[in-house]
Amino acid sequence: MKRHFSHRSMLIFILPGTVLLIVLLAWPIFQSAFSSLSEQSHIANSSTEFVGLMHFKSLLSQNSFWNSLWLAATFTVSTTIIELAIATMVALFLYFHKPVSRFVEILLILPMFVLPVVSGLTFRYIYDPNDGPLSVLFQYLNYEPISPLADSFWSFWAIVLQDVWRMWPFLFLVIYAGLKALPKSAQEAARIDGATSKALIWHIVLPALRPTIAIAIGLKVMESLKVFTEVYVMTGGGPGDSTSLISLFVVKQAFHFFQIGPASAASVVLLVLGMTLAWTVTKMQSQPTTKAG
Amino acid sequence: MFHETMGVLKLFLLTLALGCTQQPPRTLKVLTFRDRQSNALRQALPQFEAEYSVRVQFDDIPASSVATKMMTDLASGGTYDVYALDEPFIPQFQSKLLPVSAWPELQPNTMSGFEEKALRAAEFEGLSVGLPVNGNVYQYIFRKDLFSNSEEEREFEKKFKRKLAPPQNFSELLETAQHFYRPPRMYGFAPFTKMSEGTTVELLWLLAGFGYTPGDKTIQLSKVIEALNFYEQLLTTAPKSARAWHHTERMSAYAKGRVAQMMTWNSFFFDLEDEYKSLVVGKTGYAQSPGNSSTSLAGSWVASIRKGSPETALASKFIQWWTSPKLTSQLVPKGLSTARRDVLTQPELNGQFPWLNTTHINFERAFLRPRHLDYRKTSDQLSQAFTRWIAGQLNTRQASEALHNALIDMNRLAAGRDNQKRAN
Repeated sequence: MKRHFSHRSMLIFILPGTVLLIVLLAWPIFQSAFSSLSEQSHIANSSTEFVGLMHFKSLLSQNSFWNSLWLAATFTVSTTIIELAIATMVALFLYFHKPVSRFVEILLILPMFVLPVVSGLTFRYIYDPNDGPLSVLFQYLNYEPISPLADSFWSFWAIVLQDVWRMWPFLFLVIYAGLKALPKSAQEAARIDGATSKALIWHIVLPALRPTIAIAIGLKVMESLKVFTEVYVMTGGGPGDSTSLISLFVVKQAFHFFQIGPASAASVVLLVLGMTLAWTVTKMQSQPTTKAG
Repeated sequence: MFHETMGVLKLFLLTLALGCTQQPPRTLKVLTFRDRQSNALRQALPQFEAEYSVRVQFDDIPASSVATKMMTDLASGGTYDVYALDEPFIPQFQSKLLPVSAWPELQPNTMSGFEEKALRAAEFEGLSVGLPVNGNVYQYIFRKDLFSNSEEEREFEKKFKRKLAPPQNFSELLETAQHFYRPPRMYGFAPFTKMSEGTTVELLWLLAGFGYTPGDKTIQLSKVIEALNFYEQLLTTAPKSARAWHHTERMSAYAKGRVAQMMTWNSFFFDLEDEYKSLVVGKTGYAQSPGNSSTSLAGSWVASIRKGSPETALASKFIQWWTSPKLTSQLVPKGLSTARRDVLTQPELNGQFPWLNTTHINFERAFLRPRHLDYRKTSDQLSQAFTRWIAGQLNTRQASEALHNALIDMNRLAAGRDNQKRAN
């Protein structure tokens, strides 16, 4: 009786949280999935019609969708690799050579706290062909100003650079915290055995850091897939469609064309992609960490 | 103690009862875009509120967000009584808006005195759902101080064998642009090249110069190629960085005195004559757009009433007040781009704001964008092909074919709806 009462109490206690979770998490996902399988207008007085996979088929036949997906993948891979490299190098440097004060640590991670819209506007200003610092420098040297955002190749790398500036501290923070939490014993043993710094990093520290790096990559990849604000502010997806990432594609479908079905279908694709990556990262993290030691 | 407590309780109940009997003031909810005129209108609102003993909730948000906010508002049943919306959105929202013919207390002369193209902005398939609150024409401006400079005149005449004057056609526009091209200090033209509705407007203006008229299903590919070749030449007189210019960049370049001429909307003219925002105050000439036929493009914002609004009569009065000649004349000196012909042609206002009459002339010559339910999508196809060509992602042939197909698609959709309506 007591045990039964205890279970009921537990259920009563977890019920509000569960309901909240369903409402906040599961319901929007369900709604999005439902919209992707139906034809409805949020403006006209039309009823919702089930259309099966029509929106998905239509998406897969659109070059602009594949282009957006390709750009999102390229953006995600390039920003993750560059930021991971910078973050790991800085973290290792500080870990082995220069332990820094809390103040410097805060300074290093400061860009991470800049709002994406502010960061986007700042970089747009830097690249501004009329008033931006780059333009002023070029004019001072009596050259015609350049505008990376006007070039279909450089505009993409301009948004990558903005993301690297803003987000590398995030990876640094995760990796540095991981480094600080590593047990010193394996490193000390390796030192006694005569391991060089390079060998120590490659064979002891980095393998031990693998779960941390996996988490950092996972979080960064998911963040990159969703990136929208700064790109919208800097290029609006242009010139042409050279920076039209998948998130911009979704917004355009939903709020420019008012086509909720195709927008939801693209969101579902993005969701599946994100979930697959999250699952992969979880698998990587749960694998044995190192053979060393 | 008991009596004191009871006294406080009685007072509380009395206050509550009084509060319940008093009706809250009627509120009219308005959603519009933010600019100079919305600020001026906000200041004028107390006049309306006092006259009708109502409160006006006036939400002005960035122009680019109005349609999105309107869509989300309507999706949840609608909370606003009055919406101001840009004309390309009229077909999509029309079913949710009250036709003007059904507006209560509509004064007989309300529809008169407007520019015809601005009035037509509120129409789709012959049904009007609003009155124009902001009238814009895409038109030509130039640096009149440079055009009247004797040395410039001499040099220009020597090179092009004609007088330096605002161009009458596209070849003259190019010649003038080439004449003033002196990088990095001065450029001949400021294009609109950043993908948005603005690039569609720039493209339609360009094509109109080569004979395109909206709805023309027989547009020739060769004309599109010719237009792009011309624009390519025009782009060589603009800064290299101008291949991703939105309004901000191009108006900034002009206001800094680095551009000799351009096409733009009249809503920007007020800022060009503001000494806090412009280095070319008093130096701008406003002229008829170059081209023999319709080469100006009209684009107006329209105030509409939501179907099912509980305040349709009040909303109707509000829009009539907003667009009245009296209030419009008050708002023009504060930055309103009016759609009223009778205000644009007022001699006293023209003495102060020389672009008003030119705007009227350009309105007369203007054309409207094709109108159909999928306009935003076809506009995006045009804009994308045009900007991909500008950015070098497509060559002229590829871009022309893409544009040609998109134009035919756009015209077919516009005509299709008309035909369907005629059949019904």
